[in-house]
Amino acid sequence: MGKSEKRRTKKKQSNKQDFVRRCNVNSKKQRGQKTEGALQIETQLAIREGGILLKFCFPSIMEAMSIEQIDQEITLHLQSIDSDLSYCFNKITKDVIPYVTRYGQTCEEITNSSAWLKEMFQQSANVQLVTDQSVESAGQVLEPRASLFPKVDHGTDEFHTAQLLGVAGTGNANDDKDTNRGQFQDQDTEEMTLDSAIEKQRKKRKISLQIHQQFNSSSSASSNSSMEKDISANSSPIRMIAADAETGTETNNKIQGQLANPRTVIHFNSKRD
Amino acid sequence: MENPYEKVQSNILARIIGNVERLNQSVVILNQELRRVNAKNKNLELMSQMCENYRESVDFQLQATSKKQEPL
Repeated sequence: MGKSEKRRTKKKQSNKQDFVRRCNVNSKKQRGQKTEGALQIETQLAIREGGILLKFCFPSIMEAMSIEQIDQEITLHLQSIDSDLSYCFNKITKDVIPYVTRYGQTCEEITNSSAWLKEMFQQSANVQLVTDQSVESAGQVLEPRASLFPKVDHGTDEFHTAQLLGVAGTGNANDDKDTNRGQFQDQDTEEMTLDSAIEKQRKKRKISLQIHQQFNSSSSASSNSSMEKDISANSSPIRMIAADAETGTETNNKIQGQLANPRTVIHFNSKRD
Repeated sequence: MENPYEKVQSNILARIIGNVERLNQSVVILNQELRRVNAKNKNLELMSQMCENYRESVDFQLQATSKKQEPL
């Protein structure tokens, strides 16, 4: 039904264009003197061509024709708008959305395959990572449990738990330069905020602490554990310092002073986003 | 008297309105999908950061213990 109407309008438009040409010719001949007779001729022409009757309504025929042209242009513009919108809709529904869903599926497969890593980090830090929208369980320190690494006989489990407690002995650590890693730093344990950046830093430090503690095998000078025996004498800087502790020398990248304190914490300067 | 044009234009306008509504709906769906994907990727981002930190700490550890070897 729409197509037939379009054909009729097109035919009318062509008829009108012919009529316009004839009107122009007539107006050139009469030179602005539009008598009643001329108008009658023009109206008859309009009727003969099957044109629009609204010529009677307008004082100037040229204005009417321009209005018609404008109407035609309006229709054309509306059609172009409609086609562009439908093109956009088709593009989005047929190309973009399926592509995004495929991308999401691929990302989900990646997370599923790397889930074991997440578990490992969670257990090492004894922290529950935020995976859901709820922030309530974020950063909860779980009960201390056995570490993932081979157990070391220290008599206490303090070394295996990620305890970020500031120590009184760390006051001496502030003398060293802050640019070096492996220094003592006062941890802001009081800032138990749920800020994600702080949580991330905490997790980083916990992981580094675990690794450092395991490989450095605590601060105790007595090497009773089998783990410590496995580690070579030159492996840990703490051991070297322990030997030099008596001399009281201070060097960079080495722990100072009170090594015997089991609650000492080593923090590495980690990159901050 | 201006009926032909008005009729045609009203038809076209009705079609435009329909297209705009469908487009709006599809854009809303697209937005939801993107938000879902973004939320899922946050975990991946966290894990990648942790891995990177682990690598850094291991690197430092090896450097400190002078056990770092040249790449093969």
